[in-house]
Amino acid sequence: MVFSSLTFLFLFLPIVLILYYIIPKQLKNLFILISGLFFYAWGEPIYVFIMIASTLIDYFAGLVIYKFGHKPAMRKAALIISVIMNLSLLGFFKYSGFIIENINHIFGTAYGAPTTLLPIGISFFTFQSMSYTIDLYRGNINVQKNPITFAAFVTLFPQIVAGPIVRYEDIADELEDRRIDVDTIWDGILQFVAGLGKKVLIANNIGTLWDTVKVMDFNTVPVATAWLGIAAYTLQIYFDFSGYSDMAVGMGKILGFHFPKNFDYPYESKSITEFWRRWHMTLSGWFKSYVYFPLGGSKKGFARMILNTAIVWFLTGVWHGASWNFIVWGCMYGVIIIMEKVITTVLKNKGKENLLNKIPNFVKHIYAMVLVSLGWVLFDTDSLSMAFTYMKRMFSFGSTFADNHTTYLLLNFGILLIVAIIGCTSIVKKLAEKLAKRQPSCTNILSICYMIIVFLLSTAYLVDASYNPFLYFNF
Amino acid sequence: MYKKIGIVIFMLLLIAFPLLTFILMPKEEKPFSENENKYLKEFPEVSLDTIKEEKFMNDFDIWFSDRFFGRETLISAKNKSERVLGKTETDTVYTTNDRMIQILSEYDDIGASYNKETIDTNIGVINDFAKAHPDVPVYFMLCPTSAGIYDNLISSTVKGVSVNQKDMINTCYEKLDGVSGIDVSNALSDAKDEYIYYRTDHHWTSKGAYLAYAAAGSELEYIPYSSDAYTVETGSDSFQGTLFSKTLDQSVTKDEIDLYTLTDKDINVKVTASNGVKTMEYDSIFFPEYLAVKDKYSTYLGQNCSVVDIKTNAGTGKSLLLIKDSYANSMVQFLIGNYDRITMLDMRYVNQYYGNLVNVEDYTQVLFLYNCITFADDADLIKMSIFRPAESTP
Repeated sequence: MVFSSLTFLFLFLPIVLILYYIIPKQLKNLFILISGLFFYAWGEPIYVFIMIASTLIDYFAGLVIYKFGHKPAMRKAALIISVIMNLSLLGFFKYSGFIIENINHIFGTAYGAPTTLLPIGISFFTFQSMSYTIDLYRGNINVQKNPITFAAFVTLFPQIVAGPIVRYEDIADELEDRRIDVDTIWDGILQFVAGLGKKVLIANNIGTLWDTVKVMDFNTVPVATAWLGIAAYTLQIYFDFSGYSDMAVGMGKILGFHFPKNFDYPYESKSITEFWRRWHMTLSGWFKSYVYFPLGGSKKGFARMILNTAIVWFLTGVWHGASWNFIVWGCMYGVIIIMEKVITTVLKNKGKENLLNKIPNFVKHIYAMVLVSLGWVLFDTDSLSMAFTYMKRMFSFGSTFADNHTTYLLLNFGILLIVAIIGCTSIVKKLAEKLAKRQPSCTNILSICYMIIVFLLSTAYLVDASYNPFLYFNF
Repeated sequence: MYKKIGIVIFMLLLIAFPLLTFILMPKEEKPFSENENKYLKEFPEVSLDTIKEEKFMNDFDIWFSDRFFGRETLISAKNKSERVLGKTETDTVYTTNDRMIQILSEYDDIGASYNKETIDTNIGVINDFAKAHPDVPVYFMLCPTSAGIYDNLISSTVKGVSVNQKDMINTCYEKLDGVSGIDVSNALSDAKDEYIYYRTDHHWTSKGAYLAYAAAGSELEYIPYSSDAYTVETGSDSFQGTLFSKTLDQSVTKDEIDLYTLTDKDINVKVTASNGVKTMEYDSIFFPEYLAVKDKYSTYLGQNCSVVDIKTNAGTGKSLLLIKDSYANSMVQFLIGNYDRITMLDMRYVNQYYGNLVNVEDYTQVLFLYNCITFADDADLIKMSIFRPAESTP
């Protein structure tokens, strides 16, 4: 099930919320488990068993790691089993087709690739369960002896399909005991509805612009149309993904959980390093904790730091999907981030850190956003050659700059583009906070009106859902 | 306090919509939505297989959404909000000056599809037909739709990406070989201030069809009756047509269905309609029972079917084979005064060699009648070339 569907919003959600609030505390986790399995099975009636199996294995691995505290070999074996099991699930479902295809390509063989579809959210729930066994092994968290509580962690429906990647330690306490109060619920509702609006009202609609451009001939698409198209996708993926995260975090709050933040106005960044501190924060956090730091991070010298960074970015690319586009996309970020690191380190060593501060901010913003947009070209075209053709077109200023169709697209999407651009900055939030300080009662009424309007409008757009894509099937 | 109010409102919204949906749900298994012009989804079958294949879930989503409380109001609110944000068309329909106009465009997401290859194929089919029947004169009437006549009402930006129907008609006529093109655009353009196209439907009105009939007289060699010769009866003034179904925009004035009959001459007709399975006979070209339902345009000759044969007492000694789309249906009320026999062939419903259904040489004339939007994307006319006589197939 996806959040942005009528079945979820108007059947699953009300029934689950009402039951969740009325049943006694000790049954709530069991109820989360059941509703989570139902939620997942609605979209994946077969693969739900994979999720159950993976949950059981990680649960028992956890018990073994705990029970054999005095036998390091057993602890290690249990950890390795858990990690291998999770990674091979990912490997089989996500990468086997891609790997076999490339082997066939290189060696001229013709091995049949498995025709299995990717279970929704597999990249998220495997990473989540791994965080439990790894952290337990490291002694960062306590064991979860109650299988229901542990299963509730994995199947907690707000975050199954598209994150954020909630680590066990993030909600370990709340799994045992959580307070559900009016403030948190209202916060959660506002964030949920805002996320719904981001996805349904902005992402879906701006997405139709990219879809129009995406099917055009990349060799002849006018320069301005190419820029419009990728601007639209840049906005679509932010509003879609962060909207989804907002819905998840908001729903978490409604149920009494505090999930980590996943986006922090990434398009306000002034460098690529900063962008990745603000974009899909739980994923970068995961790679930092479980790959970068264990490899030594920046503590083993400059060369080693660069290598570690390169590994992390290669893996980040691979995580996003099994295709060369994603790998090149990840590596592109790796190269840029290493370059940024090198430049800042060199300048620091020479004592000329101020040099960077002298560059005007708008230049830095343009630098970051142009690279990020070029990244999205790689991310959402079907092959590397198409991506490069498109990029070439973006900079072919000598050829057709715009045509009637460009004007048409601007007329049709101009207002939405402006709204979306303002919406991905923190301007509105800052204004709302200012207003809240000066006119608290007025803000309260406004926030209720805002919730009702966005919710009803989103419902209207969902009823006529001729276009409601799910962008994370690759993840 | 306000937070509690907010929470209560949110929960009420979550509960009210499904509750009202279930209470007000139509009881039929597969009800028809007249405004949206479609059957609502049936409740999906519950079985291990349908669940395993996710068919149950996908169909359930559609079932629920089709019956959702306030669906039409919500969709029309959505369409309105999109237009506020600058979207120029809703589902290919451009609305302006109390008129819905379906755009024809090479860009699929802007208007109805304009497909150059299809057009060339269709012209080829007509030319081949004429070559195969050298003894019968063949005519082609490519009719503009309202987008072709009211292009002055369309914003220049949208015009910039839509097809100029006059150019399209001229280009098509230039490619005709052994076929005479009949120009009706000028006659319609000259009368653009009159009620010649429906405001909420993609067809022309009876008045529009009359103008085309009158303009075609010199080519088709008949003397058209003057418009004063007819008695006009307004069968309905609450017609909301196909374009309305796309936008659900109630703000555009409803349409009239006008029925024309000659005042001083009684034309008796015998209509034989055959859809391949059943053959039915009627004694009128008007089907007033459709005035009471949504699909009021079907008042003209009923539902489309493969062959409709109309015999009249006009006494002109002429007969016409009319290969056509639905634009022809409202023109027949005029043609019956000038032909003893009119046979309409609708290639959408023909799946065999046309010679099995009609003998072309029995007719004085053959007229291909299409509107620009159908013709630009019609994949059925080609069936005249695909299906060949049985004996010639090896």
